[in-house]
Amino acid sequence: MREITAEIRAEIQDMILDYYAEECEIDREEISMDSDPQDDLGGDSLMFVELIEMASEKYDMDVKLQSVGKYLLKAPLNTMNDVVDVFCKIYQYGNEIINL
Amino acid sequence: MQPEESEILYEYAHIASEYAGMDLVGFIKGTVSLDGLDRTFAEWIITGLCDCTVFDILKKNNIYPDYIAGYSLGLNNACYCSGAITLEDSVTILKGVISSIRRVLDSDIRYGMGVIIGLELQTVLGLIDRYSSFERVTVSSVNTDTFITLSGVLDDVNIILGKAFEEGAIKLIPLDVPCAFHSSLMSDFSSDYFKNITKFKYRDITVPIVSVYDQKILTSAEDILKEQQRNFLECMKWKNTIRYLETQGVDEFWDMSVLSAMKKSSHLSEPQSKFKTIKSIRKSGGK
Repeated sequence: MREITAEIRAEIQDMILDYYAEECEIDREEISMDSDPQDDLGGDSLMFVELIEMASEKYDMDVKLQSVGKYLLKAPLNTMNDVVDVFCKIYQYGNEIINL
Repeated sequence: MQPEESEILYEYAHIASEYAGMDLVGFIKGTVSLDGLDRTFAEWIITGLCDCTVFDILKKNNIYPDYIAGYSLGLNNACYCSGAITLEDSVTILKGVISSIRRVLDSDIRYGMGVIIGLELQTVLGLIDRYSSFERVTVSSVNTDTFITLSGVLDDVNIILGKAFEEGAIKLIPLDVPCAFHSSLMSDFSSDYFKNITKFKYRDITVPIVSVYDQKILTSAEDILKEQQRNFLECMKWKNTIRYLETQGVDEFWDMSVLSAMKKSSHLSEPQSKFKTIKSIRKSGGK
């Protein structure tokens, strides 16, 4: 397991909010951590997949989408907080996220 | 759409209405309503016209492609934009597709398609092998390592989508089509399509089209017809097509679809590669 610092968590959150703001064409300030990524922001699962690829590259993470998908069966993404949480878990656990 | 884009689209729609035998301008404006396959036919034509509109706007902004790649029905638009066929020919091809769908609907078997996002090809093939058979479900497009489209007998497609969910697929999208396009399962219903794609003459083209089946560069009229023949019954290899273009030094990909669907369902491997969309032009004010 990889340690995650408050700094990395903030960096991950920034990356995610910047990405959603850009892709959904809204101001970043309009995105609340309680926003529903799909219903409130108009995001979709393909954006989530692209974010995983971006994060994998940026943080040298080894993770299969299938492992993340199985984790999401237990922890669905209802808010932006959930999205940030899952990316922090991917950062920490990589493919082992499947066993959480 | 911006006013300039709407103007071009209406102009195209006005011309295409005559070939299609329906009021496409009225349909776009909402003054004409269509049902069933007529509606599908109109929507497909208009989707194609939107692509052509985007192509025109790119040209107006001095953006000319080195290659064009057409995904599924997008091949028609690629053929039109590259000069291989006319707008009328494109409508004739779509008429053939609609007739083929009619034959499918008249049969006893229900067909369908679906997208699996998040599982790799080998995993999906394993699910088909375990829970159905390759005689009933086939892979009809490999867009990326983890974006796979299925075609087949509707019940079996739905079974595989359900199993894919259990296996950890991030997203499953049942497609609203009553056919198994890009699959040999359609061969018994495809005679109208094959008849219509040979009703006119193809011309040699100036902008090469890249085959989504074998990634060959198509320039002759004969090549284009062959690609049209493959476009009904064969699995599309979009991932390979994008990758091939990157190996040819292409690092800028323009998504012609209005809703940026291809950007979302493609993967670029090279760090310098990027997708651009019509939104990019709007943002830059046409520069």
